[in-house]
Amino acid sequence: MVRGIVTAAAPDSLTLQTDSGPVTVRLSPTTSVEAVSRGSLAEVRPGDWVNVGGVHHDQTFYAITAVVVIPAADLAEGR
Amino acid sequence: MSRLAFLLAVAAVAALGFGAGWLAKGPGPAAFRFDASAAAYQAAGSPAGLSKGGFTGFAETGGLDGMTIVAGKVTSVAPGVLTLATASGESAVRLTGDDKVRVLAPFTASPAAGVTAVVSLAPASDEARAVLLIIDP
Repeated sequence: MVRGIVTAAAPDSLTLQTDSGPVTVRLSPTTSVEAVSRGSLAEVRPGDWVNVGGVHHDQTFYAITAVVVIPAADLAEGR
Repeated sequence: MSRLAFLLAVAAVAALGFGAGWLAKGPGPAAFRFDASAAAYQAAGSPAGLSKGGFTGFAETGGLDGMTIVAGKVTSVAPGVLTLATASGESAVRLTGDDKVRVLAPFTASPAAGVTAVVSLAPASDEARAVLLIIDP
């Protein structure tokens, strides 16, 4: 995995500023590009997948930090 | 039946029962048996679902703290409540607003500079297999 901040984007490449310097990766027609962005409960439909994230909490065991919804059409095979 | 005949009959039944039990027990001393190859006990968990790009939306982002504590397929949606079918049964997730809701979905526009990205590379290559953009986490 490479993680960084996008500094340049082209149809066939993506350049990131990473902790170890700039990295350019090639994009192909088969590269899957997805995004995590803000949503609402109104968008959720039966059949979608939900990953609920949390952190330990002294009083309630867990505190929910985020609810990530993956629409049914974007689920990996087998789910 | 005389008392003696009755006692002899009881003794005969007891002897036959003892013999049958001894034969059923088989040779060797009694012992517990363990199946060493049996799987160890493991509590049912809720494995996170993956997108087609192979992302959960948590481990990769860095912007969303924590780990996946519940995961499942949505079976019903009501105001403020999502009901999920999880690996360990049905779970209800109650939310008081949309501020914690994120959607992980295909992105077709060109990513803007400044957006955080996580790239999964093809083995021994600089070709991206999958890209996850974290927009406004």
